[in-house]
Amino acid sequence: MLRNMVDEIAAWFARSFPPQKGLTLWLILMGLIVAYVVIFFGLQLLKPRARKSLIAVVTFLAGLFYALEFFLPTELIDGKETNALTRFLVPMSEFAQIVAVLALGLGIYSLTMIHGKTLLRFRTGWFYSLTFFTFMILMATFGIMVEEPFSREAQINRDIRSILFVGGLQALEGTMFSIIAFYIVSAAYRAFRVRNAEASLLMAAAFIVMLGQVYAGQFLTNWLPTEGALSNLRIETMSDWLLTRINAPAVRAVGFGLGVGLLATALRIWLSLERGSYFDREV
Amino acid sequence: MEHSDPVNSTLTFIICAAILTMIFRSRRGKQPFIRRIPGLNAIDDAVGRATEMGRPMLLQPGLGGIDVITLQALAILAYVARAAARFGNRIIMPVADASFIPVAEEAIRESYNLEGRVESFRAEDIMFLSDRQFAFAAGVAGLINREKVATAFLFGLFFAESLIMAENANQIGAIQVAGTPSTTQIPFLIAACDYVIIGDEFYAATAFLTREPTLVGSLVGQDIGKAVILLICILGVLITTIMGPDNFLMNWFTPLWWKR
Amino acid sequence: MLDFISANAGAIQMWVAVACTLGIYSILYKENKIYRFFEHAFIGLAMGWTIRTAWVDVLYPNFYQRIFHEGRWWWILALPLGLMLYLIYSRKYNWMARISIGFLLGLSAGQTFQSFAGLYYKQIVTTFKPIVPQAAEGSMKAVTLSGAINNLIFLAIIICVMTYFFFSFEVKSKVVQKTANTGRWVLMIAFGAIFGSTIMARMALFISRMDFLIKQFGGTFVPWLK
Repeated sequence: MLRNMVDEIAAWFARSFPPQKGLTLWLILMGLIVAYVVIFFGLQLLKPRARKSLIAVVTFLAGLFYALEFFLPTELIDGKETNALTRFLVPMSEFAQIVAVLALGLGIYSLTMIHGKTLLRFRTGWFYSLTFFTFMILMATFGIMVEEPFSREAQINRDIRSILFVGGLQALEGTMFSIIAFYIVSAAYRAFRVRNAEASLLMAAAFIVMLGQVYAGQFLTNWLPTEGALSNLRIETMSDWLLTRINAPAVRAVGFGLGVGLLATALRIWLSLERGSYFDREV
Repeated sequence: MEHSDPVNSTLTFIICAAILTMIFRSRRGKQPFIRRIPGLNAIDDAVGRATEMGRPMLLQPGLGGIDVITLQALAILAYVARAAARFGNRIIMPVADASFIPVAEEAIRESYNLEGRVESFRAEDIMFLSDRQFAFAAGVAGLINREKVATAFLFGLFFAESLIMAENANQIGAIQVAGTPSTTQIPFLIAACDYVIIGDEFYAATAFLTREPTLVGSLVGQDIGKAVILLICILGVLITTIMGPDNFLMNWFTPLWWKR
Repeated sequence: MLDFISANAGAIQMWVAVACTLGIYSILYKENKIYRFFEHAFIGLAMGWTIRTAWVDVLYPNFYQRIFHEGRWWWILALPLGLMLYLIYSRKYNWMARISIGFLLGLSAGQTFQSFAGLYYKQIVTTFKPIVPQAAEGSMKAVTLSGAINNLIFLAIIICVMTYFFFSFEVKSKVVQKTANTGRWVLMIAFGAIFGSTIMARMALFISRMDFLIKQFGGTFVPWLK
């Protein structure tokens, strides 16, 4: 029944508000902008209490969509579990994505303010700010530039983009990721040196699991039989046992707690019950 | 799991009802007990150390944007910011999601406001670095070293980059307090940080720090929820041991989409 | 100049990648001017690529094209919500940014019901394992003595760890205290297992970087390095 109702509303919307082109489209867009400006100043007239209520209603309705979509009973249609709201999942996530992406300007503004001030006032480190701007502009320009498929300019554009992306960004990301290898060793070394029972236990388990994953480690206990009680002392067996019999239930138990904690926090936010500096601030 | 089924819906409803009931009970004035969370006691000491050294503190809410986990992280960091405002410490808060900037600014500004120090709040100290994981990590590592932060608070959603930040802070001798719901990162934080809160201590932190009745009540509700799950696990094991694998509890809890 | 770059793109790309790799590794010695240069270049490149992705993958196909090419004007409704976030910088109107924040937060909170189910639901039923030896029955394999002991350990760990994470019960019973303490010890072993299993994965990343520096780059000058 709900599915029919939602389908009918969607069909009515499609009939009543068809796509437009040319002048009509522009008139509608202008009309919407005017309407938004009116709403904007109208909202400003709201009293603080009403403002808080409005924010609470928007938060609740946005959450309600995903909650209903998840909890409403489903039917198996074309091999997919769907309910009345499932068809709106993709448009909704695209809508939210647009809203979030439009906020990118805040990030650009933040970076520009910091580096722009340094650069314009020739403060210490202005050269690094210049480096930042240069590479941002280069990457954005060559990234977005639309190219004709087979022209000479297109080839140059593609080559420069490749130098910046593969030679620059990807190499930098790969290196930064691989640098963790050094940090993991220094962290492990420090943990070994700490005369603390918990850290020692952690590192002992880490050592066994690590040895169990490399041939050199497995070689240490190769002399033990592969069957029978003694086989349990083989390093790869111990490593596997630690991962599947100790780590798995512990992580699962932590996950249960994390799940309930996440649910409780989400519930407080969704129903505007949350407390703390952001939520307590007067509007 | 794409959609709920009756058993999941019922269980979620029971847990939500427990949380809401305890929130409203706690709000009516009955303040429940909560146990100590050791890592969190270190926050005030860490802030004190930054004050003594006269060096800034790094507040790091992870890679998340406007989402539940990052909001929880921000609530913890807002408490730290309040202590910073009280003692006149400078804070640096690099963020990895542009849409999160307004939320972070509002929360931290309010922390300063609550201490009557809103004039000391510097909006430019909440800075966007990059939304790409390792560019962000590179930026934070650079900041940690250049600003010689005295303490680092790492609370939020972290992935592999957590160790880059924690180790850099460690190498310059910063005191670090960390907490994350990303279980796979906790071992590295334990190895590199001074104090780590683990598992759902992350979600209990604000209740412990602020003793706000709503949050304390919610924490009691969470405990009830966990107790329900634990009880189901114990019952399930006992019933499966006695009745074999094809028992009613096993059938209830086998998700509908599994059966189909 | 552009023609020169285009003609030697492969070589330039490799030299750039080598410089980037060494520049970033220089932080292992200490934070220095070279690292600082590559760090800022990195953030610049990342921001540039983010701008590109935002336009090419999101705003152009899902917003601009839908409104101006396909005439689906209702997508413009995303614009005020996105722009309202910028009001944070206005003293008078900054409360309106909270409407957009509320919208995004609400969506995230609503999705949590699904995340919650993902975190616990399937895990509950897979915990239901017999703790005494059993013969094979139906879809379940036979449970040996060692299997039963392991299942018992599995359940015991879940009980110990979950007991450690109860916050609102004043623990007076020594048994409960010991159970919670055991939970903390077990957690350390579990975290150790995660640590140990990650070390080799991180080493592999480092080796692949060294492979690039030595084999791919070094190999262009010294053939036997290839």
